[in-house]
Amino acid sequence: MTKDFGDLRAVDSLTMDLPQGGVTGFVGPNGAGKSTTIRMLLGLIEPTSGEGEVLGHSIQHPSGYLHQVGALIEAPAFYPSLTGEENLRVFAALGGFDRSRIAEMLEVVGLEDRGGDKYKNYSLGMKQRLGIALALLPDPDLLVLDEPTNGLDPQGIVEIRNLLMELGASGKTVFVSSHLLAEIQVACDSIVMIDHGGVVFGGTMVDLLNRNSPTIRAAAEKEADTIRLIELATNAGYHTTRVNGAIEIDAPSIWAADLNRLAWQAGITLRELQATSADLEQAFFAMTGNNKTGAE
Amino acid sequence: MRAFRSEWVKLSRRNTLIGFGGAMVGFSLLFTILAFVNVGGGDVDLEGGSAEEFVTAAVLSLPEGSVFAITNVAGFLGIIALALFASNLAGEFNKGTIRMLFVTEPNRLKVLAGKFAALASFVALGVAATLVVSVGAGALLAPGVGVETSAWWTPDGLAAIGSTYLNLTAAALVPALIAGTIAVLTRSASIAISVGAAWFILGEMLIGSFIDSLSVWGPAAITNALAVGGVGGAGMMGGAPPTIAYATAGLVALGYAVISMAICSTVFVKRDVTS
Repeated sequence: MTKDFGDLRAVDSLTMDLPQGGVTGFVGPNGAGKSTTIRMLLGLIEPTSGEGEVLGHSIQHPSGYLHQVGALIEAPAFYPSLTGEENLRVFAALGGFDRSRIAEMLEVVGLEDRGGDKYKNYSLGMKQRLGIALALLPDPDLLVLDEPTNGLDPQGIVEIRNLLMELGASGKTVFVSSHLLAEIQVACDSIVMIDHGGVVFGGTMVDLLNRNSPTIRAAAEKEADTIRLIELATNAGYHTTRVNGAIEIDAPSIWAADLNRLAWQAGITLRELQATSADLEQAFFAMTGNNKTGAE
Repeated sequence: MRAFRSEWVKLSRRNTLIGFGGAMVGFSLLFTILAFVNVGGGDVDLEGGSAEEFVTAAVLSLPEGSVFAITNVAGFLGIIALALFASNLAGEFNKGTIRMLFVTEPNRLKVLAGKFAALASFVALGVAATLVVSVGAGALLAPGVGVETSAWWTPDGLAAIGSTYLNLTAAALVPALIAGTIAVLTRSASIAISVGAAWFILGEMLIGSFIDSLSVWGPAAITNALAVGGVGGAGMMGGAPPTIAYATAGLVALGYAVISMAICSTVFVKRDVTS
C-alpha cells in the first residue's frame, strides 16, 4: 500500500503479512507511517495505490470485517461530558454490541469503580483504559491498538501487556504499536518494523533478535586460556571482543554448543557461557539506522 | 436505526436537554408571557410602535391566536437548532470521535443518516414541547387579560396548532441543515454557528437590500415563509411578511435539504479521517 498526503509520501509500497492469532508488534520511528497504515487497515483513509486484506476482506470494503475488529487509534477520543459507561453505550448502540459486556469490559480494564465518572475528569491513563475497553467491547477477532500503554503507570502497563498476551494466546489476533520496545519484545510473538513508510523487517520476534548481532559471552576458568578461546572463535570465523576477563563473540546463539564442545576438546574449562540475543532496542536502531539520540 | 439510537444516548443527556431543549422552551415561554401580559398595553415595543399594533386581545382570541406568540419566535428556534446541528457535527471531528464512529459503523452514510435523523427528531420534539408550553401558558394567562380562548379548541384552532407545529419544525430545520453542512465542511462549530447565525439574523437582510431575489430564495426568507405559512402570514417578530408562497418555500427548503445532504454525504464518504 502507498499513501500520499499531497507531496508527502507517508506510506511507500508497504507490504506485510500478519499471522492470524497471537500478538504482533508494530514499531517504527515517529513519522514512519504506523498510524497511517493502521488507518488504512481500518478503512479510515484510502490508499493512494495498492490493496490489502483484513480477515479475508478487501480494505476497500471495511464493512466486511470491521464488525470483527476492535481498535484504539492513537489518543482515545470520547465525549467529554458523558461518563465512561455512557460513552461505551454510545458505541455499543452504534455497533450493535451486547450492552451487558460494558460492565465486564470496564472491569477488565480496571475502571469498574469509575465508569460513572465523566470522561473529562479521567486521567490520561484512565482515558487509555476506556479506549481499550471500547476496543474489546465487540469481542473482536482482531484487535488493533495504537500506543495502548500511553499514559499508563507501570502497573497499568504490565496489566495491559498481560491482557494482550492472554488475548493472543486465546487465538485472537492482536496488532499493537508502541514506543515501549521492551514491552513489545516481551508481549509480541511477531513484529513488523517500518521506517520511512516501508517495512524493514517482518517476521517472528525470535528471527529478528537472532538476526541482529546475537552474541555469546564466554569465560575460561583459567585466565591463561582466554587467548586460546579467542583463537577457537576466530578460527570458526567469528569476531570476538575481550571484556573484563571474558570474551564476547558475535555469533548466533546456536554456536554456543559448538563452542562448548570445542573448548572441552581443547582442554579448556568454561566458567561462563551465555548466549545473548540482541534486544529489540538494539535491533530497532540497527534496522532503522537511527541512533539513540535521534530515535524515539 | 443503530446510529439513530446511538445518537440519542448523547442527546438524552441532561446538559443537552437543558441547554438546547430548555432554551427553546424557556425563550418561547418568556415571549408568550410577555405577549399576553402586555396585550393591549403599551409596554412591549417590538417595532417602534405600541404594543397594541403588534398584539391585541382580538388577535389572540382568533383560532390561530394560541400560536401567535410561538410563531413569532420561529427564528429563535431555528438559531437553537442551528447551534445544535453545528456543535454536534463539528464536535465529532474536533474531538476525534468521528474515527471511532466510522470504525464501529463503517457504512458512513448510515452514521450520517442516523445522526441527522436523531438531531432532527430532537428539534421536532423540542418544537413540540415548546408549542405545548406556549399554548398552555397562553391558556392560563388568557382569562386575566381578556383573551377569549374558546376558538383555540375548535377544529380550526386545532388545525392551526397542528400546522404551526409542522411549519415551525420545518423552519427550524432549514438553518440547522445549512449550519450542519458548514460544520461538516469546516469541522468548526464556531465557524458554522457564527456564519449561520449571522446570516439568518442579519446577513441575508443586509445583503438582500442589494440583491432583491434573495427575498425569494434566500434561506432566511424561506425559513420566515415556512414559519408563518407563506404569503399572508404576519412575518416573524412583527417583521416583513413573506413574499413567497408556502408551497414554493417548501420546495426551495427541500432543495436546500437535498443539497445539504449531498454535500455532507460526499464529504463523509470521501474524506480521509486523519483527525
